[in-house]
Amino acid sequence: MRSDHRVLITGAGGFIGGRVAEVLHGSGCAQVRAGVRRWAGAARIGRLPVEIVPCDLADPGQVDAACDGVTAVVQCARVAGPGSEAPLRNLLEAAYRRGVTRFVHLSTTEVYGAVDGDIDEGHAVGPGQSDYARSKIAAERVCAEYMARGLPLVILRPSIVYGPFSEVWTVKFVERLLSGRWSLPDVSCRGTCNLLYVDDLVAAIGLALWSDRAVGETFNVNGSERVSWNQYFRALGTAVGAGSLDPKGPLAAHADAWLLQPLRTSAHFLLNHQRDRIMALYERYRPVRQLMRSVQRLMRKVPDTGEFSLYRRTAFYVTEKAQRILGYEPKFTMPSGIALSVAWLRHEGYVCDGGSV
Amino acid sequence: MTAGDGARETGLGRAAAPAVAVVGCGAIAKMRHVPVLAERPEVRERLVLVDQDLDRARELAHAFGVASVAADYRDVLGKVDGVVIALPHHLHFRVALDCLRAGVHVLCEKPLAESAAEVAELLAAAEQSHVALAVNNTRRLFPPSRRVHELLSEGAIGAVRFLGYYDGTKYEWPSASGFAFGLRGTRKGVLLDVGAHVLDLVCWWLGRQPQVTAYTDDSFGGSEAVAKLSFTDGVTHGEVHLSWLAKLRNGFRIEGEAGTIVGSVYDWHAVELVSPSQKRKVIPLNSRIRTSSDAGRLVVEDFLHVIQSRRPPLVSGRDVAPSIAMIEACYARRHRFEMPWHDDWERIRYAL
Repeated sequence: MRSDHRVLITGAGGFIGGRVAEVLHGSGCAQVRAGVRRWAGAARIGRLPVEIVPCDLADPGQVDAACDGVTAVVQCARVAGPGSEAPLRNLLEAAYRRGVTRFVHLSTTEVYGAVDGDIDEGHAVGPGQSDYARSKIAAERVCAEYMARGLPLVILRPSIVYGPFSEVWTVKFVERLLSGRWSLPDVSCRGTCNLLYVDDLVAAIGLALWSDRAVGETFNVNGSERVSWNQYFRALGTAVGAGSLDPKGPLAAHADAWLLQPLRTSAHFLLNHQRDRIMALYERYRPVRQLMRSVQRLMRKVPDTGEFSLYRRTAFYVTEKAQRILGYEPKFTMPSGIALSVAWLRHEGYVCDGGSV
Repeated sequence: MTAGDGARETGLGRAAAPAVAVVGCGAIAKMRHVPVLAERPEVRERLVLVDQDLDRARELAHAFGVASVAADYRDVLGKVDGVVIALPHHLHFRVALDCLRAGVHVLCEKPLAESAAEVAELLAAAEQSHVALAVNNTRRLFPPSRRVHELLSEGAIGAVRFLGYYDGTKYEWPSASGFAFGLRGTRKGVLLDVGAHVLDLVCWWLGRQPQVTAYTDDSFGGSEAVAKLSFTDGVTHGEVHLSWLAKLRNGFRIEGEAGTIVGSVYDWHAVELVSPSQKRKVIPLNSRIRTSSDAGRLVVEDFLHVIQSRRPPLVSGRDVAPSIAMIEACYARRHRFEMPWHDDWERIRYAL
């Protein structure tokens, strides 16, 4: 027990940050200070009797106050997109000045780019395949600056993190599978999935927080099984009672994705630039609501063009370094992780008995 | 007045516009109350915005051309006719009581209070001071709510046997203070918030307060984000499922001896009446209340009239008393869901 430790978790309103806060608090191993960018994202973390503070990394004052009196920081806040280094720098600077004894930064295995084969931490980083990956690469560079200045920093590179509250790798796929209208041909999804159940990532974060040997190091964090995307989709579909999928050839699947791409781009642009006006129309006019819901459903069920390259990739991110130095040992198999995820999905009402959403 | 809307004539009379204070300058005041009050020059001139964070009050006042601000609601009690209480939930009772005792009309955000005893005290204070106690339980004005109430009153489905209400959407309220969360919160979440609307509709529709038979939520000592409850009154049984974490079906189903009513919480196009032979009849709503903002506006405008004409408010403190008692009964018997995905950290104890 290390209950004399007070840990600031940034992005505590999110999927991973929320789980880190739950485990650190629930297990009694640290006092939690949960940092949230906006209160609207605090419903999950608000279930805990922990200190919750506003912590928008873009606001140096908030960040400095959030770092006051903490012994460690776990950086789970989203720092993506052009210019995202500046907010991260605010946090690193505050942690450095406040003299925190450990800073754990969450990066991603996406920093390795579109690679194949067994990938360890010695593999070259970049070029980034997406804004997300490029932001994470840039963030690692900023972290390296602060490591050099003496901040006791650890970088973790998790792979495909799934589990309860995962919108991207759990909820979205279940919705797709249950829709009965989503499928990708086997040949497009033979790549390695690199599934990491969220609690195994939290274990790695715990080890990075407490192990003296972690400081200054970078670690891959992955599950232990080499499963393909096909295997994941099938196992998840079976667990939620999804029926057989519409068989679709590679050409048709790619055509759907490419045809929808302009609509996807336009919708993102409009939502990013005219959100208030669009939401006002959404609230007032039923046809607008119906149209927007249909478009949203369609976009969630048809893969993004970028997804195909991920599902084909055969890279496996090895964790030998984390096992050797940190004592990391993934405990969740795909069946056990999916079982817990589906229990959560049923509880929250995403999946009803009989398999309907 | 449009039938089924609960709407009233909203133009102010010839008497001088009432002096009103809005206490609490957070999200609801900014989005709903102040815009409606400030758009009437005669009301805006006498409007006072109150917040212990005076900068927040000044910012809102500046945005809407309001001249007066104050940091303490007690400073305005002798100077205004009515107060709109838009504070964190746990402050409603204390502030409302002070206002009512000072002879000031009150429009309180929901939930009016946290216990039946508190509501009784507020009602007594209002009666003693001869002032109105209105509550912003706007969902009573939502077109589906009104229509269901009418259908049940007309006996359209006979005696009600089952009532199910399911309301869930990801929490997106742009709270200024985050009062519902963390160590400063009251450890009461979605039930006290959304539940104050939903259980009020349950009691209003049934015309009585049923007994809570089961209540579970997901609080770990903080504010619950998911809550499920069952109730019965011997004739009707029912269930309510609320969530701040996920989208639920967002509708209701009321089964009676002679049919079933099905409707949506947020889509106000129509409600459906299903006969015992499963024949469906769509009942269009055609209301001029098309958004929750429209309903909120109506409540605020009505409050101005209540102050002027001393008529009863659209939704009074007495109206919502049964639902507050029901919420209190739920919290009194709260226990947590089985959540193995949450409690399974023993497997990773080695790392902690």
